[in-house]
This record gives sequence, structure tokens and C-alpha cells, in this order.
Amino acid sequence: MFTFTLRRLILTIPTLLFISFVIFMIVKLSPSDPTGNLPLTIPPEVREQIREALGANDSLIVQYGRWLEQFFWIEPRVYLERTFGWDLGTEGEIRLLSYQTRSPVMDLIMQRMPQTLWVVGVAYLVGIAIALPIGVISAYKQYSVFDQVGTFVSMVGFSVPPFFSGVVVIVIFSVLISSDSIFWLPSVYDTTHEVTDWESFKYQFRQMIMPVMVLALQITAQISRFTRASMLDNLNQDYVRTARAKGVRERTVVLLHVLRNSMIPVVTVIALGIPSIFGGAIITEQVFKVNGLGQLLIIAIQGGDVPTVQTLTFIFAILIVLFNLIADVLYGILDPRIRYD
Amino acid sequence: MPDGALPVLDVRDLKTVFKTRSGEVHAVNSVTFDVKPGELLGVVGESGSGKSVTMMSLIGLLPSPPADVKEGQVLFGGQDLLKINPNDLRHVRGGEIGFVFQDPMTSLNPVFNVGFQIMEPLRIHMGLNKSQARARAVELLELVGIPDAGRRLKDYPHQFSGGMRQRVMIAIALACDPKVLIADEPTTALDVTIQAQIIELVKELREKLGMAIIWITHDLGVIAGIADRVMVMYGGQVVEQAPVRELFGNPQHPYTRALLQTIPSVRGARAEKLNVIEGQPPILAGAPTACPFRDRCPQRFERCDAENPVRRAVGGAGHDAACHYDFKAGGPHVG
Ligand SMILES: Nc1ncnc2c1ncn2[C@@H]1O[C@H](COP(=O)(O)OP(=O)(O)OP(=O)(O)O)[C@@H](O)[C@H]1O
Ligand SMILES: [Mg+2]
Repeated sequence: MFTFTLRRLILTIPTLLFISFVIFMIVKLSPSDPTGNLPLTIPPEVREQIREALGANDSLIVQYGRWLEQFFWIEPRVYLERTFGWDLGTEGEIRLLSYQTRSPVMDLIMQRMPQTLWVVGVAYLVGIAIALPIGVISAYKQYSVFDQVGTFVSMVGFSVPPFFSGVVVIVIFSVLISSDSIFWLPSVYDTTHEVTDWESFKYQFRQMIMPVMVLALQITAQISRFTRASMLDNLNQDYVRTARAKGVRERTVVLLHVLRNSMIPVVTVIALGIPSIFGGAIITEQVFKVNGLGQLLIIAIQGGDVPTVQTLTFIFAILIVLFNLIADVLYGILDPRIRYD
Repeated sequence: MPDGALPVLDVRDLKTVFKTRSGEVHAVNSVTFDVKPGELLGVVGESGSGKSVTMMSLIGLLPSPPADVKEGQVLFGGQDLLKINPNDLRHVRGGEIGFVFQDPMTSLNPVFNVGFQIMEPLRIHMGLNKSQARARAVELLELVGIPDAGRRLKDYPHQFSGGMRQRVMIAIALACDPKVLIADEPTTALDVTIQAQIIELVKELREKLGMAIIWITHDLGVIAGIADRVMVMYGGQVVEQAPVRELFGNPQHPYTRALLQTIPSVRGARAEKLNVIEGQPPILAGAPTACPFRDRCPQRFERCDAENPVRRAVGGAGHDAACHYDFKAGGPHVG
């Protein structure tokens, strides 16, 4: 298992390099101008100078090489210096800067990460926590009222896009319910809000409810359906009959024998979904004005901010590759039939 | 086998119906049989004749719905298994009645090691703690002929061959010293040499442990070799039942006779074509009102369409058959 993981990790290096190059070419070749969002009063010569200063006029290969150096060599050292107070000689080296804000891309990402992790991450956890029991019970009581309701709710979760469900909950909880009711919820996520005491924690909790609800609905729909299907596959297996014939309690049959087998594909799917948390929920973040990573990406794309788009996309790519590996390793741990050596 | 011994398991008038979307399936119709202590009862019959459903009905192994064990009594250890509460029945299952299934490749849970799977019934029914259960599990694996038992407890089912897995299944079924072992086609999925080994093993274990065995099979050759008594099933009913020699020497039901003729003879002419029983198995949509075998029966006459025959004593001691035709007299039974 260890050598397998190591081999796979080493293999990811060329994969990621290739991905970064493809991303770079796609971002670069799309017609966008880093000065496009600047006021029209700026004369063309000045625009040209700005492009020159940003390095946007260098040859593609030089630009790609610079990005590689900044991402893999300068930025990690800057972060090591900051965390441990070492001196690795990054003074004077040019960090990976955003075209739009001229501030380091990594700092932008670090500023926005917490909002995204809170909202989308919590939604993911809530979604899974609801989905697993629903999936198990729906499968065990197939075609029961519970299962039918679960099927309906999942269908809603699958088919209603967040820009619709988001607006619906806003209309209900922020508009129709008067603002002095305890059921009223803020429609705009205040990212400057800091949790310092119980009151501020309560506010944080309240402002998270709606975006989390909207996202969790989607996640619950997917994972509960998947769990149900996996449980159904296993409930009809011969080993379940064997367990019953041994006199194992029905609850143990379902929650130990069947669930343990059913969780193998479910856990891998959950692991594969984690990168999408970091990707942020572009639409939901927009609806609730959460300034998370998804929103950062949208703004960067609109502003032709190549370094930011490139870096964000590449980080998502790293996470996807990494969690694919984690999913494989988990599969090997959960299923004794799989051997990687 | 002492003739007069009280049966360990006494099944009377068992009826099991499946309620499906396309109607009812009367899979088991008034099945009556018993097994004496230490006896090996062979059960034969074509596919769909209700052998598995009968045995699973006894210990509540059928999922309900769709299955409904409607009527009958299953007397075991002084109680009726169809009436006792589910928790007591659970302790009979795996504790006093062991079950071995057809396909050892899929009958073990792939994600637990065999040690866990053998120890499970020991801990549930005998209340052993972990180390006691472990010691007993090693003993059991040795008993069923798995070498290096102590180490193999940690292995997973996929690390065993088919024959070895069936040995593990047998070890699980025998874990709590059951009074009855039900083996549902335990060798069908195995290749011939392995089959022979498993049959030998069961014979041996029976001598050592003395439990009664119900052995379901399609293989009449196996039955002839190991059974004390044979029960023939057709269309969800027991159509004939007799001590093994009597049944092979003096079959009294046309289905049994046809079945015996399907055994290819080694001595006969080589070009001789395989005998098959012509016609289709019966449709089990309703409770039987006529003989289920009548459409395929060479002896059929009016009464066969009007009345489902009940088993009556024929031939030697302990031999009965459900047929209106008397082969000895060469005509219908009188009365
Ligand atoms: N879950 C079910 N729903 C409906 N009908 C069923 C179900 N299980 C079994 N049956 C029916 O019950 C009848 C008896 O089946 P059973 O499995 O007992 O046959 P069998 O004698 O064991 O055959 P085989 O030799 O193939 O194992 C068959 O007609 C089958 O179609
Ligand atoms: Mg069967």
C-alpha cells in the first residue's frame, strides 16, 4: 500500500505539470485583456505600458516559466518564512501577483478560503450526515412511504438549480418572514462578521443557514441516492442470508454486514467530492454574496486576471488529482479484496 | 438409526406462499416430514420444486414480504418454530440449526475475515468472550480440515479457494453444535473432486458430532451414497419418501421412477440417449387441486385431475408416496 501510494504520488508530478500547461494555454489563448476593465479615459500608450509592466507581452513560454517558478519555488518559501519565521531569501523576489489588484494571488486565496470552507464545507458535512441515514433507511424499506418521500426530495435536489432554490429560501426567510421574527434569516452573508462571543456566534450560525441549506440539498440528493443504490445492491447478496442464518440480529445485519460493504463506493464518492468544496459553490456564493473562492474565480475571469485564474484552476486540479489518489487508497483500505502490491 | 426415536425436527403441513406483483406463488404446499436424531435425510427434486423455500421457511429465513409462511407446524426442541418470538427463533437459527448454502463464493461476507465470521455465532449464541471464541474458531477450522487454522483466521474469504470456503461455511454452521444441519446443494458450485472431498468431510463430521443432516441435492448418486432416508419433492409437495435402499429399489411414484431413469448408467450401451422427463414443471399460481405431476405422468387417469393425492403407506416400512396409482397392483389404488 505504501509503495503504491508513493508511486502514485510521483506519477502525479508529470500529470500536474501537464495540466498546468494546458490550463495556462487555455487561459492565455482566450481573448482577454488585463487592462480591459480599466476606465476608458486611460490612453492606449498607458495601457500598453501597463501590459508591459505586468509582463503580459512576454512570449508565452517565458510567462509560463515565470508562473512555474513563482508557484512552485517562490510562494512555498514565502509561506514557510511566514509560518516558521525562517529566512529563505525571498526578499526582493517577485511573488505571484494578481493583474487586477497587484496583490499576491496566494494572499487573496488565503483571505477567501475561510468563507468557502465554512459555508461549503459545513454544507458538505451536513449533506452527508443527512444523506447516509436516508440512503440506508430508503434501501432497507424500499418502496415504503419514507423511500418515496426520499426519492421525491432527491429529485428536487437534483433538478432544482441553486440560483432558484437560493432565491426561493431568500424570499421565504428574508422577505416573507418579518425581520423581528426568530425565523428571519439574513439574505446577505456578512464576511466581515467575526465570532467573538455567543451572540456573534448565533449570528454567524444564522447567516450560514440558508447557503448551507441550498448546498446541502444538492449534496444530500446525490449521496443519499448513491447510498441507497449501494445498499440495495448489497441487501440481496448471499452473505446477508448467511448472516441471518447465523442468527445475527437484524440491526447488526444491516448496520454492520450490509453497511460496511455498501460504504466502500460511497466513501470513495464522498472523497472525490471534496475538491469541489474548495472550488467553492460559484453560483450559491453569488446568490448569498459570500466572497469565497468561487466568487474570486468569477471576478478574475471577468477581469482577464490570468495569474489568479491560472492559480485557482491549478489548485483545483491538484486537489482533484490528490483526492483521486486518496479515494483509491481508501478503497484499498475498505475492501480487502483490493491489493495494490 | 433407532427406528422409534423421536424426531428432532418435525414439520407438519407447511404452506408457504409468495405474494408477487404477478400474483401468488404457492411454493410449498402442505409439506410434512421429519428428521430423526443423527439421521441424514436427502431431499431431491427438480429446480423450482420448493426444496430451498421449504428449508428456509422452517427458520424464518425468507424475507416477508413477499414470503408468507401461512400454515403448519415446525416442531423443534418441544416448541413450534412458527409460533415462538423472533428473538428465540434467532437463537435457534445458527445456534441449534445450522445452514450451509449453495455458493461458497458469495455466501461469506467479503469485508470481514473468516475468524470474525466464525466467531460471530459463537458470541451471539454461546456468549463466549473474544479469546474463548477464537480458541473455538481455531478448533472448528481444524475440524473441517483447514490447515494452519490459527493463522488463517485473519484471512479474508477471497484468500480461500471455493472448496475451502465451503469448509469455512460448514465450520460456521457447526459452530454452536447444532442438532440439525441443513445443507442446501452444498457441492453444486464446486468441481467434482472438491465435491467428493466435501461429501467425505460431512460424512466424517456426522460420525464425530452426531447431528441430523438435511442434504438437498440434484445428484441422486450423492444421495445413494450418504442418505439414510430420501424425500422427493415435486411442485412444492413431498411426493415420495422412503429409506434410501427402498426408494432406489422400489420407487412408488411415477416422478421418482422417471427421476431414477434419468441417471445415466455407466454400464449400459454407450450410444443410449439420456433420458429426460418430458413436459414442463407445474405452475404454482394457486393451491393445488389436482396431482401436480399429472401432465407429465404416463399413469394419469381421471382421478388425477380431480383430486390431489395424499401420501399413503406403500411397500416397505417407512415408505410412502402420493399417487393414486398402485404400481404393485398395476392399477388405481382402491379406497
Ligand atoms: N422471492 C420469491 N418470490 C416469488 N417466488 C419465489 C421466490 N423465491 C422462490 N420462489 C418460487 O418458489 C418456488 C420454489 O423455489 P425453490 O428455490 O425452493 O426451488 P428449489 O427446489 O430449491 O430449486 P433449485 O433446485 O433450483 O434450488 C419456485 O417456483 C420459485 O419460483
Ligand atoms: Mg434451491
